[in-house]
Amino acid sequence: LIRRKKHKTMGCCSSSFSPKPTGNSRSNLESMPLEILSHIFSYLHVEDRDSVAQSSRALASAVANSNIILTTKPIEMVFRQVSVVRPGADDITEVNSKGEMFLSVDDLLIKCTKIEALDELLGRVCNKVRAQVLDISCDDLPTIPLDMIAHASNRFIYKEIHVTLNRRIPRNLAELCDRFACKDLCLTHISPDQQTLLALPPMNRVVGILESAVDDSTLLALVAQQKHRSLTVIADLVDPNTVVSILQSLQPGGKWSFLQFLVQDSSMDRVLALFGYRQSDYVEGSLAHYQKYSWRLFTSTSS
Amino acid sequence: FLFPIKMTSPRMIKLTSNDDKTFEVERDVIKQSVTVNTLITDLNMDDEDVSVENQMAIPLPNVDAATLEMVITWCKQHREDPPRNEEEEEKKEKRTDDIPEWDKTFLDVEQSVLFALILAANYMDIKGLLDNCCKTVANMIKGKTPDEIRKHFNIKNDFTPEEEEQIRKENAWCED
Repeated sequence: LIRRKKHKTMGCCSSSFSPKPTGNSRSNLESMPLEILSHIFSYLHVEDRDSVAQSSRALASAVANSNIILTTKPIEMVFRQVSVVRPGADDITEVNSKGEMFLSVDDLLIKCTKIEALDELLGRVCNKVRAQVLDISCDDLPTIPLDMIAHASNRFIYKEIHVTLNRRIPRNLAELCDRFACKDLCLTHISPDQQTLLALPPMNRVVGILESAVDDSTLLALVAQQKHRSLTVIADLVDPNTVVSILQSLQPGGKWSFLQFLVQDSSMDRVLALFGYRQSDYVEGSLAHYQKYSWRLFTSTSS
Repeated sequence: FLFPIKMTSPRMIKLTSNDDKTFEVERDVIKQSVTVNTLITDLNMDDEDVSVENQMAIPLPNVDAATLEMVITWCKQHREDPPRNEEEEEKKEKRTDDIPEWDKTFLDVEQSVLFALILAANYMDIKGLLDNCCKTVANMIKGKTPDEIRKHFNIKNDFTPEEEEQIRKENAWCED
């Protein structure tokens, strides 16, 4: 069962309660400075913080205000209950004229091992999170929780959404991309099967198809699809003959705007040897540079 | 050959509470207080030529004698603790089940004493003590209903019935 808040604004609503001047009748806890209360609240889960907020007006106000203080600290402190593991570099909290709270971060990684936790975060911690990259880690989940991501996409303001998976791609990856109009897919350290990989909708960029995860025929089929505008293959263990076949199959004027193979120096030497430098027009920059780092091949700038 | 061994007594620092009681505490013990440590450094009190008798006492106007005594006891207990790396501490998972046993017993005091300790630890900037005090209070809150929290901390419910109803609605859970 997923426990879900009926009201999305919880977590900030209590800010509407201002503490009554109660003089000496305040308890020890209520008399603590906000700085200390924030410190105490940082050890509490949201449920407990809510209970505190419901205890008195002073504490409701403290809980509401402590949210703002806490979000200026590393994000783990705020989103501890969902194990956010990567703090943003420049997290800034904004409160707009409607009193909605925004959290701005460069890169927010939500480790979504517990769906409930994501919902907790989205429904209760703050109204909107503004992130350059919203990185949702779905490690060990058999399928991507699409509804949760839909929930996230409504709650977050982001430029990119990354879904991080654990060495295997759930079957519904294509559905994810389709449903959320993903244009940029980073596949790192995961093992897509051919069916899943070939079912992907057209992307602007697909990065990081791991060498050991893709067999040569899948890679060839993927390239032959010419579905994606940009493809980067981490191809250390791909048979150099396959790379050469791919390169030779590409026709100038085709749909590719960018194809990149990231290979180790030794593999690169073999590819280049097999390729015979014959189509060096397609290789951008000096060979020495790409031998060291990567090999970028442009077949066409058209799309 | 026998060489004379120079016996050096530990450097002592004098602290005065807001009720004018003076405590002598080893320099090595009180270094855990960033506030006191900074004062000692800024006032050049580490100068070995000044005897403790002639030394100026550091006033702590926000701490009473009973609390200061407890703070010193805590600092003595933790004098061998490795120095804290605040950056690492910030990254650590926020837990409350890692309070050392000695601290648990030490902090098992009346609430007024515990909150006085929190204020003193905050003022004297003793992060280890402040953390463990705050964790202790957090543990008192965890798992309690608003009513139980009010009872535990002697908090008066000052919400109007309308506000209570509003809060109750906002905090309703649904199962799906």
